[in-house]
Amino acid sequence: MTDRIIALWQAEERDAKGFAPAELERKARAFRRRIALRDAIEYAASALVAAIFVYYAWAARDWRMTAACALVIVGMAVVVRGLWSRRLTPLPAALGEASLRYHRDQLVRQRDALVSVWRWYIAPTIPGVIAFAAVVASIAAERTASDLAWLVMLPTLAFVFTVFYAIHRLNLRAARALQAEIDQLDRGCDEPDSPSAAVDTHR
Amino acid sequence: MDGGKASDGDGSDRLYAEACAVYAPALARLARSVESDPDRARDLEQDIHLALWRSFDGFDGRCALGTWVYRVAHNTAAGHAARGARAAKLVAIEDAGELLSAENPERAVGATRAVDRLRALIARLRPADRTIILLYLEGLEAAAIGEIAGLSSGNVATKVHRIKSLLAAHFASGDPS
Repeated sequence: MTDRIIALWQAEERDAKGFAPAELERKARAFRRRIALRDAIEYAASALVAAIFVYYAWAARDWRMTAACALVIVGMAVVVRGLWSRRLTPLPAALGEASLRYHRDQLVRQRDALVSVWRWYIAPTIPGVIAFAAVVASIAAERTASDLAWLVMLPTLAFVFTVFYAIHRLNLRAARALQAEIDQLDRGCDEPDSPSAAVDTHR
Repeated sequence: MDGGKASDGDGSDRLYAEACAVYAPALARLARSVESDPDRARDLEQDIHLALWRSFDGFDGRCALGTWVYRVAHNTAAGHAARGARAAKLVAIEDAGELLSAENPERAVGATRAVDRLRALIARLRPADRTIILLYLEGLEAAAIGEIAGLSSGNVATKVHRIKSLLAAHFASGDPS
């Protein structure tokens, strides 16, 4: 009874053809250019921010500001290095893996990336943010002979860290959803190609 | 991601041409099932071909050419579907009947083609079930489907049984056109 729908299905797209290797090579080059442009924009933006902090350090002529800006730049360099090392680099051979295993590996990779965001993306920026805010408040307090700068800076810092925490929680929630998908795959598969490697997504 | 090939070779181009001669229609059907927008489906089809062409550098002949082609194609398509439809609630094949029963009767009757309804259903399935139903529709046996999907043939046979029941219940009349 299902033969008819199968026949209808296979009658679709019967004239579809492949592409000439030269055309595929052109598409591959266009893809590489797109990725290179995206990377260039990302790193140029980081370089611009670093340049702004170098200028702050130079303009303030205060060793505390120099140290704070150096911390910000070092933190940013760690983040950029993290972005670079986590660039998506699937090997052609990986695409030839059994679908379930490939899909599971992708989910695991995405889950692990989300769980580790705080470690390689958020944490490296924290010392710089705290130091910069403290130095700005300290210099402002000295110049105005008032503690008002600290009163402004503390809620600002609290707001920044609330945002960081919210990002962390959202990432954990997304990681839990991915873990649920992985568990579902493992339950529906009587021969999982790799053991379930659940991670703690409740921190 | 390196968009180019690790090593160029006539071998890869020959394998790609060989694969296209047999599987190009199946790859086009896969793209249209995963992506409903015609332009984006065409882009996905091109992406699948590009991935397939590049993949032959890593093809060591340990599995049949057809198994490799379907694996690469379905893995590429699954990545596309995952990027585009995170928000959509996907269902298991076991729950697909409910989905079809809940379909607007006017739409179901008025649907110009059974294949369109089938595509819409496939797009709502979880990745593993989507792979199985698509390979079943391409006429593959349970053992071959199992090798591509990474499931035992017993597990695939159970799924195929459900797929057959589903198709018989909701698509038995086929396409009137």
